Amino acid sequence: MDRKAGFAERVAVRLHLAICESCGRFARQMEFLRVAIRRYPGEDERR
Amino acid sequence: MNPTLQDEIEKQRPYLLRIARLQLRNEAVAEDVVQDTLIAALEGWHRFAGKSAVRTWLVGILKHKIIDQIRRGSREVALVIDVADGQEGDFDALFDQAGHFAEVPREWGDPERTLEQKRFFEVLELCLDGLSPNLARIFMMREFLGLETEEICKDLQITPTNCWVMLYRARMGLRACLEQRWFQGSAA
Repeated sequence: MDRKAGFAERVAVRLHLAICESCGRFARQMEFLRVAIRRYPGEDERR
Repeated sequence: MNPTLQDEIEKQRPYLLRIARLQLRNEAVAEDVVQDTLIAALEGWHRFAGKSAVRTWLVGILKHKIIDQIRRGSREVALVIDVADGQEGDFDALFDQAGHFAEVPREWGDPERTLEQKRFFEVLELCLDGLSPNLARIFMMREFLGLETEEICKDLQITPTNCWVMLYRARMGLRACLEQRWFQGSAA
């Protein structure tokens, strides 16, 4: 999330996420947080 | 100059100030940056053409001005790590001896559905305010302004390790806060 990972590292992470339910959920939570803060402060109703 | 337009943009000032303060910790500089933003908005109004919500557009301008400030290095003071920024082992309770999650994290579901709700962003802001100033600032630099960690470390004059640890703590803090204040009510 915060630095470039080498190819081997990325493969290892993806493999782990594929089998670890908890980690997969955690990763999705972190991704959610990222999407949310990029959208911050959200839409104003008035255009 | 259309008075209604000026009023409408002016109304966003308090909001922009809150964001600028999170990033610029110096009240005077934050006020200046917001002022510059409002002026730029009035001057560039013809380019806006209602393409998005007014606030979104203004925040876009503000972000750029904040980044400019940061890159100009006009904040000479390096970040001073505070005890409020967290301690070693702060989130240890979330993991068991083997380093696995002690409890299976909840599914937060589709972001799009949640982000449609205005109330969510109010809660998110509350959670941001709950972080220590340093953690909030570094998190926003990374995620809101989109700066690379290398640039962040350089600006704040901290080591990359410190950077990553603080980002980790900021994310864990926000996660805990959102779990408590927003996701608690929903099914796991």
